[in-house]
Amino acid sequence: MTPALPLYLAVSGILFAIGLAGVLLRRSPLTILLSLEIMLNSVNLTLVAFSRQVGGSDGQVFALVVIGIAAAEVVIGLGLVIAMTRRQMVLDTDELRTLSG
Amino acid sequence: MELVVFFVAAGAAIATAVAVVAQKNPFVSALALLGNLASLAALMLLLQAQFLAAAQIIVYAGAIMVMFLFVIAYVGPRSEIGPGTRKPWQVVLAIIAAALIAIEIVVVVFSANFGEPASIDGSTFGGPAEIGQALMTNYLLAFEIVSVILFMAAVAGVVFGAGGRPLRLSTEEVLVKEGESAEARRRQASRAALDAARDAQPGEGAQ
Amino acid sequence: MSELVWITLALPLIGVALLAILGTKLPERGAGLLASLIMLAAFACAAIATIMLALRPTEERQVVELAWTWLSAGDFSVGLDFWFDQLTAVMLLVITGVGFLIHVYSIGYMKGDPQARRFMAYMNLFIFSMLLLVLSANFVLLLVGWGLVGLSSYLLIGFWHHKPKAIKAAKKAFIMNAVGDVGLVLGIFVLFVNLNTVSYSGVFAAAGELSETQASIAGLLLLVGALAKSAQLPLHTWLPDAMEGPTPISALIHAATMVTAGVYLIARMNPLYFYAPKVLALIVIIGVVGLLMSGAIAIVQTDIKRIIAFSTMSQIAYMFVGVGLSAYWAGIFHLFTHAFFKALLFLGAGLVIHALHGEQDIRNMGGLRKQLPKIYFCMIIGALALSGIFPFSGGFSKDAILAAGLHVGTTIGWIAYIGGLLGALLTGIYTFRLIFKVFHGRPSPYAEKVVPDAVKHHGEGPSSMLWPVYILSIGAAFAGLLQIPGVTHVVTSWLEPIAPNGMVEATVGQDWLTTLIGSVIGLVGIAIAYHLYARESDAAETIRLGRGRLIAVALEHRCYWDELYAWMFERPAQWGAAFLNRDVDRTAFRWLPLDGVGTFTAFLGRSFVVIENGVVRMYALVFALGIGAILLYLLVRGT
Repeated sequence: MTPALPLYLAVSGILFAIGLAGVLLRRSPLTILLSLEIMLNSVNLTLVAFSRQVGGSDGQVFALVVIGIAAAEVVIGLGLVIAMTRRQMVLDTDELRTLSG
Repeated sequence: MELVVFFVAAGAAIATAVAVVAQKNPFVSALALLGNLASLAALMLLLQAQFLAAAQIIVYAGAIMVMFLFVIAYVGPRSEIGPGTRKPWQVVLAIIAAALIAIEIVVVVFSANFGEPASIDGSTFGGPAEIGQALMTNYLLAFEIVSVILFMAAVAGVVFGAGGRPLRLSTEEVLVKEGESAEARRRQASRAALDAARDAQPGEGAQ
Repeated sequence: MSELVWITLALPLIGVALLAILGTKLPERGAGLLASLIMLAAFACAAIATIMLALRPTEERQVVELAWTWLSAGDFSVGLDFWFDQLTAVMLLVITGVGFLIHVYSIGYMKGDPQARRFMAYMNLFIFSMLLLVLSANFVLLLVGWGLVGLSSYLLIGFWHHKPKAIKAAKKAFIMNAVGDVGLVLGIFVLFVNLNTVSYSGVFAAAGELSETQASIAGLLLLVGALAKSAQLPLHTWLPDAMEGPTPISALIHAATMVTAGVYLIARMNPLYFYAPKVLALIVIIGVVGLLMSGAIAIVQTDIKRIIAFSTMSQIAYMFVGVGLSAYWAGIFHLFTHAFFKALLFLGAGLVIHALHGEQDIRNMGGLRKQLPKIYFCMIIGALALSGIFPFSGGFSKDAILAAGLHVGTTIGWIAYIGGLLGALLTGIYTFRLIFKVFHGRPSPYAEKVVPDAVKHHGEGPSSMLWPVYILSIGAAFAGLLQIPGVTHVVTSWLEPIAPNGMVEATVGQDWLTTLIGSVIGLVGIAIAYHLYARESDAAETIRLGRGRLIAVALEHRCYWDELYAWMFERPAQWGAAFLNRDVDRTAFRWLPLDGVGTFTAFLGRSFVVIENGVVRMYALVFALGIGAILLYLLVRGT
């Protein structure tokens, strides 16, 4: 018997919350990016679940686009991390408070 | 049967997600995320989104996570240093916020009445043909824009990683940079003396 | 003609704007010249407008014109409108004319002061405010002018803001004026509530509908405002302290114009006061008590400017007596002559102070008539006018007031008459005490040392300071000729129409009788002063330390008014504050984490800083909490 839609959505919600907790609690930019990925994936799951519910493939296309955007964002984020490392900066978002330069 | 698979995959997803968030070592976090992606792919298969599940594994797990692992390896063994400015009450509040949102979502989805899932054609739904058709016709613009964004991201990545350096250095600069300072300084000094002699010429004589 | 009136009003404001904008780009003398030229132009416009008014037949001499309405709600509207009639014309001429002369004087007086441009700008601002006050045709605009005048006075008294005494004096003046403003505003409210209008024409037309109580209350409240502005009992204590400001503004504001605003107000409101005779009687009483008290205090003052300040208070009390007796023309006439001789005395005193390099204590002066003969001559004219000696101007106007008292014949009238004559005696004494101690007798060691040098270097004073004094002495000497009883009656015929319910005017006989008695009493006063102060006798000291000891001490403390107010207001305020701090703040609020409400509030503030520490993570936490809360709300609301 197939699991009903609300189950998928519940799983997605829980994953979203976990990712959110990670973004709020962790200080290393890498871990924050990883938590962000969890949040994006949970949204993907929601989209796919609804796509199945409605019966069209729009949701899946949307999820594909989301994957693409996530990739782009990860590139930028990791590039920033690399730039920070090269300049011997501390990888701690709590220390990085002055947003200039 | 499917329910069992669902619960296993869902449990794995949630467990790995918690591991991502809780682990101190970013390397372990990244590996946990890989596990999370695999579980999600399983869930998507259950929802009969085959193409997407495959794309998830190939693109997300295969490319993005690999990039992550590269960077983590490059950055090195740095975990979070000290407690920083995190106070215990902030932890509590963050967990409360997350839990609040989770509970709200769960409550909402279980109290809503969605009805039965639509009937689909099992052989084509979620397959590459259908997704490809949608991408190329209805969502062509989105497709193109995503391509452009990915391109921009690639350029940005190059700039971040390798930017800031002039493309060609003069011999002096390279020599100075590479530490053969004595040679470079000698060459610079002789050049400076030449210039000084040329400027001082009218009437002042060589000094 | 009305354009001229607007121009007269606008010119000083333009002056202020120009001086403020040009600032230090303007040379110091240029600022003074600009301000004075503007005043001259304003005087010319006022004069021409007055002439044009005079050319009209008497019935048409009241011009009320509206520039624009700025507040309009249903039936009620308030606008920028002026009321130009005979009374206004007199005030305009005094303000712009004497103002012009004092501006010129200030050029010389403030020479070398790095803040001279600011001074000139403030003076123009004051002139504008005063013009606005006398020109307004409704109570709201009057309030604006009233407040601005108080502000200009504050700015100018505290002009030398590095002097702590000047700052304190400025604050004192402003606060007492604020008390008066409360009275004025309440009076306007009473009028509005009962008559539903704030324009003069509306109030005057409907004044008869007020019951005597209502009119009396309104009149009394307006009187409070007038008392504060004119430094009369009991709101007078700021005036002697206001002498900390530069002498030109003592002359302009605290002699010729601002302090006369109260008199102007009562004269202008005569249709209202017609229906509040008890308040008018009160005004007379206050005036009589005031003039006697301040005259007595002036006899023991040692600072030359404070003698003249108490003299101002006394003379304005005379004006109050005049308007209180419903002899409005007499009060205004005295205002007119007083502007001349009082400004003259102040400016002359300023010249003396200048020659003595800033010394203001008359015990350090003496014998100056040999070295400053021109100033001496002018001051004598001013003193004679002040003492009311025939035929100088002060005599005519003061005697007009007293004769009105005689004419009225009631108890109040007799109180005014006798009190006024006694006051004339005191006036003679203190005025000529001033003259004799400053200009006669042996010079003090300080004066001997300083004055000959000063005179050698720049004569008796720069011509910019001397010429206004000369012109004022002409006015002080001859202005009285406008109203010789029985011969010329320029003043009465000019001012009569402003009181539709009639004014009190003595008969010619009464007037001449009063003049005779007044001049004799004034001469007696001069003789007493001569006996006590002119020669090298210690008769004055003997009295002061002997039989007159108690009175002398009381007078030297200015009749203890300052101490009374300190006891009435300062001590309760301090006690109240101490009580609140001790018994309320520390005990009642003991349960707060820290002592007192103040520190607790600071603690609260500090604890909120935590969420704004620049760490992005914290902000994200706040976002997440907010989203959670909103979703919760939506959830709960939906079920």
